[in-house]
Amino acid sequence: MNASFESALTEVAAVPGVRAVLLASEREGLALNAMAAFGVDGDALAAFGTALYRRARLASEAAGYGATRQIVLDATGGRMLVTGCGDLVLVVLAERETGAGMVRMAMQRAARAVR
Amino acid sequence: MNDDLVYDLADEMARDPHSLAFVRLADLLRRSGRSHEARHVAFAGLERHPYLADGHDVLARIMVDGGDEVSARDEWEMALRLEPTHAGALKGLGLLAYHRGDLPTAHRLLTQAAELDPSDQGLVTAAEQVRAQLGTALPPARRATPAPPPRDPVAARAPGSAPQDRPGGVHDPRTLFASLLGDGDRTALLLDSDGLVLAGTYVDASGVEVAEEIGAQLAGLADEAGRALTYLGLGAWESLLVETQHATVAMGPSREGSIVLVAAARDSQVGFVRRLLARASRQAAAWLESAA
Repeated sequence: MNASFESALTEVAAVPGVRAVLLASEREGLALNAMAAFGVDGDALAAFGTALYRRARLASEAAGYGATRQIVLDATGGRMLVTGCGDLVLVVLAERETGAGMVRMAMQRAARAVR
Repeated sequence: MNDDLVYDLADEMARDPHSLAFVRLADLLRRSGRSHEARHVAFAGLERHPYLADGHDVLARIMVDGGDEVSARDEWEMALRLEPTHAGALKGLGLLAYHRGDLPTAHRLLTQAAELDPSDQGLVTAAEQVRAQLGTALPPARRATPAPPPRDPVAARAPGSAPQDRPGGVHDPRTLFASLLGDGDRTALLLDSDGLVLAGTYVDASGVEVAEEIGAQLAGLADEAGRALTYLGLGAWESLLVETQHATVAMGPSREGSIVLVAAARDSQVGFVRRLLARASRQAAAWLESAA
């Protein structure tokens, strides 16, 4: 984990409305690094974020869409964003009202830093 | 934006009834599902410009949308008599030839049209599909992305699809979203809770209908999203957007556990795809309600 990635992760966490950001291995679904607000279950977020990403990646490949880059899942109680970084995934949990555009940009910077 | 353009063009026609803007106005009305008005505008324009190939082309499109292939063929043949290299007329006649099973003629006309207008992705795709069925060894035509089928209501009638329905009701569920999708590489499906296709169509680059396969793959993704949200206590899902190498795919829940799915070529803006999903969801909900 290099300093530029730590910095990028902090930048994602600093976006207003972001409640958690973590890096996890896609295969195992385990968090390698996490910044989460009180009450957020980082382990569960890592497990479900990676599972969703893996399912999306397989479905996209089967459908002929090629590699999966990012997922945004919107729900009444929040927003989950997942970006692939090689065999790792970056998972963010945010308030529903959080601007997806800001988070996406910060995530893309962080993903570039981790590669 | 289309409404504004329709208004501007109608205004131009009111100021100058001889304007050639009638062609664009008729086509916009057709694409908006306002076929009756489109037909009126096209007829009125052709009364003033009977030798305008584009006018006959747009009237043919209106005819074919209404299922009148005989009149459409007459109009396209007239357009070709007036302008032998009219790509739209060649394309239309090529697709009609395809539908009556005359593959050699379809191939000849579509290839000729594609050479005249290589920027028309739907046309290039249709030519490829017919070529594949003929089994010829012609060089492959240009193609940008592998996924969605041609979206022009005329081109959308290429292999595996069905005629556009009359305004006022969608009789063929495969055309439910045709009016929303426009000209770009976009597609939309309505899936039931098991991932089976209720409405919409999806033809891949080789001309094969793949809606069921795509539906099954992506509906499973919605199930995964639902599980994650339940466990994380994030409430009910509203939408899921997946950005991939070749496409942006968005899906959302509809009535009775069904799922609306839209896909657009990767160069489409994410915000646009979300708006497309919202519009498709409204249309799907209305259709499901009317079908109940």
